[in-house]
Amino acid sequence: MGRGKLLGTTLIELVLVMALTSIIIGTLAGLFSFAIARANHAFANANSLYQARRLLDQVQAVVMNAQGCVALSSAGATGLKCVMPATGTDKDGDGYNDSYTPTGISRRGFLKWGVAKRIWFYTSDSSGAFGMPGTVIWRAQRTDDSLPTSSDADSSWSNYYGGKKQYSLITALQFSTTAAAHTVNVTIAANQLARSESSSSAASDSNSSYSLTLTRTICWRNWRQ
Amino acid sequence: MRRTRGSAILFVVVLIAAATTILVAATSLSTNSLEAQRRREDSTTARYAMDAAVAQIMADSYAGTLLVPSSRTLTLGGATCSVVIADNSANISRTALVTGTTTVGSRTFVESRVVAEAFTAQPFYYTVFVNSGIASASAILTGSNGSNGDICSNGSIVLTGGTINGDVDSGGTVTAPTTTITGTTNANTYAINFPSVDSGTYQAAANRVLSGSLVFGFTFGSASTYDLVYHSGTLSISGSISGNGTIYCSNDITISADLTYANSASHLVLITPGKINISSSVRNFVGYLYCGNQLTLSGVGLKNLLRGNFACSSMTNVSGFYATYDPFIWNSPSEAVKLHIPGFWP
Repeated sequence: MGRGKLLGTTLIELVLVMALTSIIIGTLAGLFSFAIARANHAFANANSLYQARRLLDQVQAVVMNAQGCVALSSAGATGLKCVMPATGTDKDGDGYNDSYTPTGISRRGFLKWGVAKRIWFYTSDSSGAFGMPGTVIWRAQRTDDSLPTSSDADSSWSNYYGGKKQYSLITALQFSTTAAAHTVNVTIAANQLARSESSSSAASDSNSSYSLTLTRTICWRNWRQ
Repeated sequence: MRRTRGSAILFVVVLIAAATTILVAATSLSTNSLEAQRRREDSTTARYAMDAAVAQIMADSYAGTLLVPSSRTLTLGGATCSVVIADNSANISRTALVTGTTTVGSRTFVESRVVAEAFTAQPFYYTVFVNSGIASASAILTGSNGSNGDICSNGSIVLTGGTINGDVDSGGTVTAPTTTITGTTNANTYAINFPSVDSGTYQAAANRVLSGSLVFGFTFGSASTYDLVYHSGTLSISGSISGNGTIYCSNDITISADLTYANSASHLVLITPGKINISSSVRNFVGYLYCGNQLTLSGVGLKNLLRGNFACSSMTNVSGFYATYDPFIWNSPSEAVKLHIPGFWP
């Protein structure tokens, strides 16, 4: 009697424990799944924001030092041409001057900078030639006003070592300039799938992707020749 | 049984090692990312601190309280910026080199900038200054190699052909479709004061008086205070000028034939509240020319202002001309005071 009662109690207890365990595990699994999904969105957000901001900062560093800038379009591709001052030094060793000194001073006391190389930012295909449709972000340098070719494109800037695109999450790069105010308006769109590290350019999976658009107005300061 | 127990220990050890490796790698990655982000933030903070320091220096420069050379220390948003201000005129006239050493946390950033020293723009800083507009159907060619050729007018400017090696500053519009301008074209700029002159003031300050109305060649004294020669009436001048000095004429001046310098150290200032006429026979002339009325370049064929400038109320350019600015007073404004140039003296 006593023994049988004890066995029955053990079975009920076992069922109860299993049920409670299932509920707890189910809840934890749901929480875990939710946390993973939120983490993926946070990573997507951070990655997209990081690439967009990094590109914006790179463009800003060039525009701020420029003597003049103009936005150009060709075959659906948009680009920004920055005419850089005449005297500069390459402090970070990337082959592009990033620190400039004036060439003189105007009769009204304004620093003058002269003109030298043209630095471009634009979207193109993997060839890097300006005017080709594509989503690869390129930087190029020329000594004249001609459009950059594939030989001018800086692949070491566009790609990481091994060939992976540095700005793989950038889906749009647009420029507009206001010459009278000496300003460039830069708009950058970035998009990443929240479920993986791969880029997403299609809207078919919008629930699993994170998109953002950053806009910045930058003044070119060294506009006096 | 023993083998099974041994395997369990081995699995546990491997799992703990793997977990430790992942933990260390994740920690290292996070630390490196954090460090990189802090470095970027510190760099940005340092740059903004330097921008603030330069802004403060420029404000002091415009207020006339900037000392060159000097140094100062600024603390901005947790960043300490030590700034050294040195004269940079050996490289670029009227500029200072600002070198900032900014310490943010344990990092130090060094950055240099060239800043302009503030000054008041003057008509005699330009190769050609016309208080009213410039409307020239004949060519104007100024300076060379992109310098010593700036022109300015407080009115609109219309140029035909020619080359301006420098800036074109206009209080109105600039129309120069066939002119090469190497510098910046600045329309609607603020007006530069065109100073007036007072004959009584110059007469009182003069140390010499010129009696005749015809001058062919002139030698100024060698005194450190440059000669101020006063002449009452009209004056016709030509020939070779030696030394540094000023001829003030109370009425119109005519440059009747070539006017040249005897040597490279000579500097002539011609001042009249009236008109200056550069005759048709003149090919070369020199000097800082001020006329409170109209300056006329007569005849056919380009005249050549070899070294100097002219500042006038209005200009009639019949012949066309080539002009090269004399930077003597631009580089040393104190010389402009000694030369009694309007705007600098009295």
